[in-house]
Amino acid sequence: MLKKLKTMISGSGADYVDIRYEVKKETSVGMSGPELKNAGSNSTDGFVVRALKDSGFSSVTVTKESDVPEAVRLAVQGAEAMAGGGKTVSLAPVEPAQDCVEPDLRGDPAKSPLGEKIALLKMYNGIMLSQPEIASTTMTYSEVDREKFFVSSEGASIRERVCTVSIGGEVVARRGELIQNIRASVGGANGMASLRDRDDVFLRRAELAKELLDASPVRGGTYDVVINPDLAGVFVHEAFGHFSEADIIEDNPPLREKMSLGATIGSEQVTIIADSTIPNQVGFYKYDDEGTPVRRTPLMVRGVLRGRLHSRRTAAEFGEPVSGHAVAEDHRFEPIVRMGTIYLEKGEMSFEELLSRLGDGLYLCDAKGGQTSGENFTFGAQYGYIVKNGQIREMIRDINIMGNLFKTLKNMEATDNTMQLGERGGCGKGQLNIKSGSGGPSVLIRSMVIGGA
Amino acid sequence: MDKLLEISESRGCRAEVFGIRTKSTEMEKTNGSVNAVSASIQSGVSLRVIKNGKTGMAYTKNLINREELVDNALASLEAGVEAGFDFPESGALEFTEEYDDTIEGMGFPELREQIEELEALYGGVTRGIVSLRAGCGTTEITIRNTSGANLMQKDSEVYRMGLVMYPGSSTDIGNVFRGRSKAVIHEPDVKRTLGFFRDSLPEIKIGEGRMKVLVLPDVLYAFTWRLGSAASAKAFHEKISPLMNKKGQQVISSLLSLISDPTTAHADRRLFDDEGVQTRRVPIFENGVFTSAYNNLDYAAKLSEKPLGTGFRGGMWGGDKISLSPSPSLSYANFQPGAKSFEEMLSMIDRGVIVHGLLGAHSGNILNGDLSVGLNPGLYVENGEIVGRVKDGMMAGNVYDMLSKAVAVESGLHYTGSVFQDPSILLNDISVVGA
Repeated sequence: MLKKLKTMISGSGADYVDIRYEVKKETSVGMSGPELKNAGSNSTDGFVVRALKDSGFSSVTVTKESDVPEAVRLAVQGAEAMAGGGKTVSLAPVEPAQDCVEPDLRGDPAKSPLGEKIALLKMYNGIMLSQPEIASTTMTYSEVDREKFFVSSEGASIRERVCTVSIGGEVVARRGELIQNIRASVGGANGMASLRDRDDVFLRRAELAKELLDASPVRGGTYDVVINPDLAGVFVHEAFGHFSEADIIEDNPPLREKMSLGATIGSEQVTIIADSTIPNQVGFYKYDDEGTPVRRTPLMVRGVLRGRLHSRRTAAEFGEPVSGHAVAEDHRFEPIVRMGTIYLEKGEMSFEELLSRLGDGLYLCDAKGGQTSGENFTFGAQYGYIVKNGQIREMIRDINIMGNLFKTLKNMEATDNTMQLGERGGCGKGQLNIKSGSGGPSVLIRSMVIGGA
Repeated sequence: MDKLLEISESRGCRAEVFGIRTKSTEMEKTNGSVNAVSASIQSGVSLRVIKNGKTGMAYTKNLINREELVDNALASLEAGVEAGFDFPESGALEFTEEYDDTIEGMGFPELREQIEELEALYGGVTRGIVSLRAGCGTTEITIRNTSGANLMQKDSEVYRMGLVMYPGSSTDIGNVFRGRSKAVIHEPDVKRTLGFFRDSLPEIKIGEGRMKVLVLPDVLYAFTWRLGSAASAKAFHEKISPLMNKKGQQVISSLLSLISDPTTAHADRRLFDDEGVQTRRVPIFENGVFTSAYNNLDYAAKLSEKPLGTGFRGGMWGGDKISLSPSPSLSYANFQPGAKSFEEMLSMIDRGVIVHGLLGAHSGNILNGDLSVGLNPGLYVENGEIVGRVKDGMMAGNVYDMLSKAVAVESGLHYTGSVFQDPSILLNDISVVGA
């Protein structure tokens, strides 16, 4: 395939051209309550062509091999259209790699029969449905196995397989007209091992859903809070991580100024690292979707900005080193700057000491989606507790947090000494990215705006 | 596609083939420079089979080996997913009224011209960032089944979008214009947006309070998601809908009607859904009364109801249509226009917020109707005049309570980037929290 791709892009007339062919095998099993809704394995494939000509840059995606010549022609034409009065594009240099990468899997999902996957899903689903006051579930086994072939006119020739599995969804508790739900998921990028023997996770999630039936809606207002590792991960991803993606700020001069490397924008307690080289994590990969090897990238060290996530285009635009973060959802998309694994580094305090330092406030747990718009962010918490004098009290629900990145980074006062990385990724920046993992320790943040019901 | 049906039938299955082909071209200009140019040509086929009361599905982007696709569908069928439905006898239909073949010939130079026309209107913006986009594309959907359905619909679309971003932030407001052949710019809408932008440049701390909220069409999707989650036949079948036993009851303001109608001129028309069922007007809420759940073939059978033509492929996040089974969908539902002009509604606000965009609409307990979202932006209004935009603002509540407090609905409808048009809705006494 690599040889074929090389032939496809030869003679394009562009200053630079690359092509990515990808076969995406998806295995999915779905259940709604006790009913099996779907089960099966399917493969899709397609091509993405990008061309640079006269400092214009363009991309074209096509399904059929017979359309690739048209894709190459259109990509060059698009680059020419941009070149006439458009933004001047160049690509930061990257040593062209020739490599073949297989993931290190503990139990290759491709070799595991569909029957085992259905049985696992049914078992965990059954554990949740058997708990009192659990009305329903929506649960999915999901396996995405991508085999990617990348060739560039500079001589890169890479085949990499990335495989992600998860079992997850939502458990719904009901009492009369009151309905509460909790998300449950396990998984990762290291094969079936991450899915087996996880009964305790699903049992606890069902218990939490039931407990929420007795929780009170949080009252909107400004609170001091401790957020748990899952929420800390989502904060780092949503609030800071997107802001450190170069394409988000590149056309916004005031934000570029604020995010200058060397600027102090966080408290001394804040060190944030992007590291997709950590093995077995959901965000693990070796090369991004333009053939750049991913590297550990410290983004903020003790409150000072030290790095940024880049594609080759944005690295050249900013005059900064490439980081290997140009990632596409699949063969239907051109790569854009994305996070893989990102986390907040842990501190030295125990969790009890963190709560004691909080005094009165809220302890908020587990993310329920999040979104960012520049320096403003919001994310939901699945549940939480009122904290009085450092002691966890009544359970609360309907929690959404709104904030400003810069203000919040300054208000992050302390972190505890336990760090967890999430098992399931998901980010919807234009394309879905299931390989966006995040995590951190528990964090004490002063003065967060909480919107309740 | 016929060959796929033949092979499936030869294996003892009833079958349905869903095919889709799309072509699109897009260009974006930010701060006066073209910064993104892209194109896409995509296709795919999805096969559903039914045999012995069980159903299976398989899909592919490149239909090279038909036998293999049928094999995959049969392997999926082995898992034992119950099928209480059959594929509909929808006859033959070729619907091309929403298609303009000249769109196929549109290229990058034409998109550049489309953007330049927009540029003339947005040229007066001296603060903030202006991002202008234009795109065009075609979609062809084909559905055939062993019950004789032979359906084809071909659409074309041109769109233009103008966004202005507040200085030093990524928050923007803007307008979308769409059409089958042309994206005609409605200049008063642009002028109003740019006026809002200028008036809302100062950031204002408003603290906490209850006030009027004018919800613009751009953010009504957050309300529709929550109402739709509860009104889905899936939620009724699983007995988890907060609307259980509320059919015929007033649950939101009598000023509000949410109607699913892919046949109306206010939407990109569809005459059949993604399962080949004829589409029709389905009132979900009419004058505030919960009227009907919406379904697909599967849940219609489970609830012993008739399919309503509301079975579409796709989810909250879109997705690749061929890989997703049809599910009950409110993709084509919109709020019906009311009686007030936008200016009249604005003048009704003594103290309140115009919500132009949201952060975190997908968060929270959606099935229960909880809505706690960031205002992105929320334009702060005093005595009918915009005086700034809310700093770090959120609004919170439950959609049933919030929509019970509707006091006016706009008479005009506006595109927002979805397939239908919506009005603005003025709500009273809503909890808003700001810095």
